[in-house]
Amino acid sequence: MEITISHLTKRFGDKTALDDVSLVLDSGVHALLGPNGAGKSTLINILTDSIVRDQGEVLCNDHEITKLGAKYRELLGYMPQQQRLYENYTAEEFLKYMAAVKGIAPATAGKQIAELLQVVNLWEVRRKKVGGFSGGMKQRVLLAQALLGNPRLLILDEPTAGLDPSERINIRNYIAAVAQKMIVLFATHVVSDIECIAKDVILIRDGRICQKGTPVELIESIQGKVGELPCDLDSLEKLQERYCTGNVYQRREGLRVRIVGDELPEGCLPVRDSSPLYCRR
Amino acid sequence: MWREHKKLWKQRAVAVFVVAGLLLNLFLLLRSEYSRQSWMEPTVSCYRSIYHEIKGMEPAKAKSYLKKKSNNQNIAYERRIGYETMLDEISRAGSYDEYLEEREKDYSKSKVFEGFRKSSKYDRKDAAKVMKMLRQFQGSTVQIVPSRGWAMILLFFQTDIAGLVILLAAAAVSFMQEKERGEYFFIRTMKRGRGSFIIYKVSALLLFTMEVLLLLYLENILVAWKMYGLGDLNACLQSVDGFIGTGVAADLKQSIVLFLGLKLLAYFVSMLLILFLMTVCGTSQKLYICLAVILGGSSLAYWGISANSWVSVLKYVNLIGFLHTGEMMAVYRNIGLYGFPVSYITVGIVFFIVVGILLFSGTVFFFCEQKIVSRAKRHILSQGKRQRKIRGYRLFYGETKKILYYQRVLLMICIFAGVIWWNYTAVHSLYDDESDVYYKEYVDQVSGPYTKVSAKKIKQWREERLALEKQIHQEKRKAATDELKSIVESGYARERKRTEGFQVLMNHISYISGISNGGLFYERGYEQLTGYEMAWKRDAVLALEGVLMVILTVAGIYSREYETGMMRLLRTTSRGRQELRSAKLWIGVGIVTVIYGIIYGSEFYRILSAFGTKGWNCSVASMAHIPMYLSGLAVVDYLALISVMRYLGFFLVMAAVYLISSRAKSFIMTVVYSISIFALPLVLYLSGVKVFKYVLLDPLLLGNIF
Repeated sequence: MEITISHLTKRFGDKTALDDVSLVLDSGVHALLGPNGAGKSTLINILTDSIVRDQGEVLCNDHEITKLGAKYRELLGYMPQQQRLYENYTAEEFLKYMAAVKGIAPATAGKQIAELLQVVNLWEVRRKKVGGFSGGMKQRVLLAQALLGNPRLLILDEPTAGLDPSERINIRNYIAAVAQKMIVLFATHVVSDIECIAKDVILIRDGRICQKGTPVELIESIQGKVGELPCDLDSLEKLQERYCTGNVYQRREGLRVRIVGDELPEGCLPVRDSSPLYCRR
Repeated sequence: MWREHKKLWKQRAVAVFVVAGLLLNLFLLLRSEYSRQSWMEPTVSCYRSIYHEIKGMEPAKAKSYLKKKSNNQNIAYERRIGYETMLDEISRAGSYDEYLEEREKDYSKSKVFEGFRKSSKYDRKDAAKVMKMLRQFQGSTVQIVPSRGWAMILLFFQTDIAGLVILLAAAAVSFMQEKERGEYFFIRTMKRGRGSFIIYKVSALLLFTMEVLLLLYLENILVAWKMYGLGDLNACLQSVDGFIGTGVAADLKQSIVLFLGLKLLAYFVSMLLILFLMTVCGTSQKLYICLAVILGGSSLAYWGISANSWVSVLKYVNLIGFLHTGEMMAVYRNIGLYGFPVSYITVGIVFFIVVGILLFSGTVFFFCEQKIVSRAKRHILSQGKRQRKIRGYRLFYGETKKILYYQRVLLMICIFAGVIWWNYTAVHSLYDDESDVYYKEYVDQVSGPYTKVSAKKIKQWREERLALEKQIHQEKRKAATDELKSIVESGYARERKRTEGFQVLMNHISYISGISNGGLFYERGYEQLTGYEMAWKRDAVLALEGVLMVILTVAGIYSREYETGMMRLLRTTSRGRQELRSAKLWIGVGIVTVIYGIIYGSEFYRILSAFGTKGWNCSVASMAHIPMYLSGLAVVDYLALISVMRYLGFFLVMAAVYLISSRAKSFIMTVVYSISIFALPLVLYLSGVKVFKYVLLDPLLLGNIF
């Protein structure tokens, strides 16, 4: 299966949310990275056929998704960022309902639900009301419902938000395993979630794709442009004003700040890391 | 507090409701005055000109002038009606002592009869206190003022209906919606996010309440002043027609201030009640039910309990009673508290203050102490440890379960059915009076189409009746004295009633003779189902019950999906659009059908099981109140027609509520909008504004609009 996005444009009043975006998505994990307001949600909404685009087309195996309609949505699994669910439902009941809305046969649904509850580690609490779940547990319920029906296109909007580190690893590994058979579009702010599993990374900013490539390619592209500099609190502020800075680390010998730029300050030690992708200007 | 107040007015929905409420109030005011039938009461211009004629006259001179005019046959009939009406209105004008004298006489009489009947100690105290209050006005002068204008200000309850809807909408937008969106979850974690926050919020809403009250009543005052004028503001309150028995010692200026003050307190208590329920009720559905029970109960108590009943305190000491502020002031009345008569106005003020403080404190307390996050409870049906195999289901089943079980619609319908069953009262009397018994006896023997056989029978009865009349006449002639004549007359009293009953039958025969398929049948039961005379009230009450239930049960079907954000997720699934919409629609139809069946099934059963179905194949126009153009329909066809109309009305209400909820995206706002659009016209119709019979879906919901 292949999703082809061509010259996609969407405007909200004066603001252009997506500006001539073109992409091809095939099997594997595609990471969608970008700051707030970059256009990630708009792209996801268009792919889930929730909003109408102004220009462009989205093809699924060469068929326009708006014309495919329900047939396209049968292939779709979507995990939204919102966590408000039917508070009175148990986890099991919620998944049964979602399976019904997805048109999954009752017997098949039962098996899938049981399996997914184990995968997302909610089997023990499957008969408790979702209203009393923690944020992370609600995330897992949402992930489980997205995986119902063996979707061919899985869209995950911040799937690891609210999860503890071990759960994040589990989810990440599970997604990596299933992604071999489906297209996964993984929208996130957390680079470490995708750097190991993403087939390619799509950097989006102000509605445009500024860069696209495998994680290795992207990291290679900024070689020599990322460094670490020891500093103190007084000099940190000046550095932040002058350069594009990333994380600030506390070490035994003092503070260290990450700097990204074509020209690095004197004394800066080059490093090879993916996190500076975020503060690329 | 000012920020909250400003935020409230900035909400578009609030501004829309305020403007709509003011326009509605204006429309109702104008409508109530300009729809007067000139052959029954003076029109606006007639009243105004007649008042202008007598303005400035001494009361005695004015009365004499009006009497002369009303007896003058050269004056147009409508104008004479105007003079008569004005004469009635100013009948108490002049010295207050005349009225006081009448009351003293009645009081003295009641004291004389105390020895013969048991009057309680309280009754004696009450009567004595009333007289004491009235005696303080001895020597006062009752002047001539345009009472109609004052009635628009003091006695126009429809203004308060509009006011309550505005208050509910404001509280819903400003408070309940924020609660439903989970905004209080964050606010409560802040330093000033509990006690201070809720006090400011409530204070802002109370300030808003005052503003709404002033706007509405300023409108009433301006319209009344423009239409009729207000007369001499220094005149005593007793000068207003209907207020002669008041215990308020104030002139009209002061009375307006007192009236607005009392009304403001009533509005404050209403708003505090709404806020208290919004705080305490976890869901909008519970809020809706609580409000419906409290307002419905108050209305029933106020309009249903007699003033002389031993539970009359419930009639007056309730929210609806206090909202009738004008009536509170019009007649001095005591409420019995532990055997002591206390002035109704005093009781009202104390009630407002005590209940107001309790509600305010309760709102603050519960808001601060409420636990918002619930623990993860096990579902009640999954308490067992037995491992069940998980099995999915189909969409329609899932949706039905969600709506009926999880949204508690089935529970609501069961409770509603229980309430209808509990309140079910069989028809007590099939007859209007004694002659009706005989009329039914006759008509049952010839019910159906008017044939030669029935004509022959009727002819025979006619001859019997004539023979009887002749006999009575002869016996009375033989009686020597008037006393004996009246004894003869009383001896035949029953037969006279029988003759009256027969005469009713004869009147029917002459009426149906020109109607194709016209027939004879005992129509009392069908009259109740076809809107005859006071049956229109029952039609309106049933329609209102149905509309409120439909709104309560279906408002959450779409609005909950939007509130939780689930709609966005559902629409990305293969069956989350058309099939889901279709499932919701069919479930809604099912709900509407059940509600309809409960209401009208029980009503039809109640009437038809008592009166039977004889003659229902005859033309419905055989009943005089049904227009001739429906003569082609049989009674059963007409009942089916109005049933279909009502069902269609309910269905359209359901469809409209769906549409409103998909726009409003909030349960409470859906309820507020739906009540304003569909329930409010019925309430206004019930309160006497007949034009609302033809507004929006009311013609379908009421059925009997022909």
